[in-house]
Amino acid sequence: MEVRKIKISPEVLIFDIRPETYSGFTFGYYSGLTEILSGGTNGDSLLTDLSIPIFLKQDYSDVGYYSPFDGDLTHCNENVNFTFVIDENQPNGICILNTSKRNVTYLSGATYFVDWGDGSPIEEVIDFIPVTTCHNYLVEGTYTISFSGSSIFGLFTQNKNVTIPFVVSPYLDPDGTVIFPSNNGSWSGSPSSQNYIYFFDSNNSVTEQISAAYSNIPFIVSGQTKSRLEELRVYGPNPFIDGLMLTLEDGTTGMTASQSVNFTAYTINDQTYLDYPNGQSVFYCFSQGLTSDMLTASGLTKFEYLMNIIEQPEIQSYVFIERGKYSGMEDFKRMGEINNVGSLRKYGLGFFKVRNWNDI
Amino acid sequence: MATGNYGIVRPSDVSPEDVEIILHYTPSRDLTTDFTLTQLDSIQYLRPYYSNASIGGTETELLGGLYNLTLPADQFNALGIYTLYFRPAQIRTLINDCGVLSSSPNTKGIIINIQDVPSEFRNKFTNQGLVGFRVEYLNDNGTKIPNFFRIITSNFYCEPVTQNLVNTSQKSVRYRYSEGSTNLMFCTLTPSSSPTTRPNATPFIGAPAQNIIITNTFFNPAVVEVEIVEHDASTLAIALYGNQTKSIEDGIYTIYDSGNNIYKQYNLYEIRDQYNELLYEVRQDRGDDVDFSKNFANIIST
Repeated sequence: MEVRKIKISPEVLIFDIRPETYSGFTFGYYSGLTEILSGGTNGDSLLTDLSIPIFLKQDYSDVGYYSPFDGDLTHCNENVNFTFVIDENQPNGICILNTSKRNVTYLSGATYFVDWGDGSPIEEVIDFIPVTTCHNYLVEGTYTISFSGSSIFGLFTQNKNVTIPFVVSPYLDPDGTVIFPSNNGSWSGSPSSQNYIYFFDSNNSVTEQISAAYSNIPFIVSGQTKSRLEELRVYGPNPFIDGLMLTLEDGTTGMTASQSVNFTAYTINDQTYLDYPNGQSVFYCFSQGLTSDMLTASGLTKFEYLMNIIEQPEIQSYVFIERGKYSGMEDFKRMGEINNVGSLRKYGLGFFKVRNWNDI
Repeated sequence: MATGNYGIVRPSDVSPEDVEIILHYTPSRDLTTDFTLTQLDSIQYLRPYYSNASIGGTETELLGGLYNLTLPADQFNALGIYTLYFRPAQIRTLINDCGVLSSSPNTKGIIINIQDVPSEFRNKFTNQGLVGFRVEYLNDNGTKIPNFFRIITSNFYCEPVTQNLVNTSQKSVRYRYSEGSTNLMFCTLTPSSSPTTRPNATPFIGAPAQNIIITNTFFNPAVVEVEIVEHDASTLAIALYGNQTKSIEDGIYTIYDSGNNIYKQYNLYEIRDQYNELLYEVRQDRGDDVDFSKNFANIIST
């Protein structure tokens, strides 16, 4: 608290000096403030009320609340992740591709390292996809590749297993079948991607590719695999019983979901598989994109100030959050800046109205 | 690139009635342990400035920030240091009860009986009228719990309801909000909820019958020090740079201030021995014995 100091001396007073008139001239006289304070009748003070200006200010805190949805929200897997492919130039070569998000300011200083899992030195990964970082395993076996990214928000690691020699499943129908539904001349239902191998992939209407501003759309991930249906076989006349949960040899659980002439569906360890009569087996799942239903809501003690007045869900998922304008009383770090159109659209619950040029 | 900055300080537009002015006086800066505090009537002595057409706004619009403080002559009547401490007005009352809402048992709060509130502050006790106010607590022995306060996040009229508890035959008094005004005010405070890591660690928000002090947060406490001095640099400058006259005939030496008021008057004379040898030149303060014929206007008019 600053202290303002004011001095009252005779020179700053006009009305409190003793008046006198002599030969028609009016003037005052004094010899210091004591004269003023005791110069009246019977030694009374001549001082009248004084007046000083004062300034009062108010430091205020934003009584707003933070919303987890007013800024950018991305899953950690998007910020630190990799994929790997076979290195055809080496006998047991594996190349990783750094798929980590990089076009955001808050990750600009991030560093990435890979531990190939075979005792070889940890290697720094400088490049991003499509540039590869390769390694040759000397001994066949299964290894865990640990890919770590270090940024201002800490160290995040992704682990993936690779079996050497690495076998790539062949694409039986890499281009899939594109269906152009007749919509009376409207092309709105046209698929936007043709590189699918599973017929559910053709659900590529635009509405399924967009999401609310705060979430990343989960998309279908599918691929060819080796059938595991035999692991669900039971003894008896009906070897596969729909809905019967079994514990498999590796400790996981699985069950047959449905059987038809088109395919047999089953799940193992919560992963869905489809076996087709032609011998193909495919799996499919959703990516780890975030939607609001994946966030756990609870009484949020963080915004006590408005507790029980405005409730917001508390994010308990493993995500990166960019706090937006409702940061209020929180001690927070602003993670990102608006440096691309996507961030501009998502910032602050549509704080900026972004339109396409031909809409203007 | 920063996306934007904003300030968190604003000129306060608090009403004088929400301000308390504490006055402390000491005649000197010598060590003293005898603190005497008095209070100035803020409604009488503190007046806000208002806008006008020349600066924008109307004369009914509070300017904000700037206030005029009157220093009453009956209190500021001696040389010395006057320390004025401006703080938010304190509402002293007690907690009638601590309870929860019947419809939302997780919502804890304190209940204040408005009849226990000093009459001049009861107008604040309306729905949401206390939001942002600070609550401080007193011990039974009258001491204040230091470094401890809570903030009121909401307040509504309420009324008690009796509910059967699920597990016992006891009945519990809970509260529900009332549409109309009642004598009871349910205030939610922050912090009052348990951290998620320790669900049973409920923050203290007070106890029934505990004395509390409720203060607004409309402005920052401020201190102004007014020092009434015999001389300051300005008056000393008079002696150096002010008009001066010396009467040759009677040796009266007069110093005038910037308004040509007589500031000091001296007799100038010499002291000699019996051989008429000069021993001293003397300048003697005439004090109250002022020769008014030496006023500046009179002299220069001759």
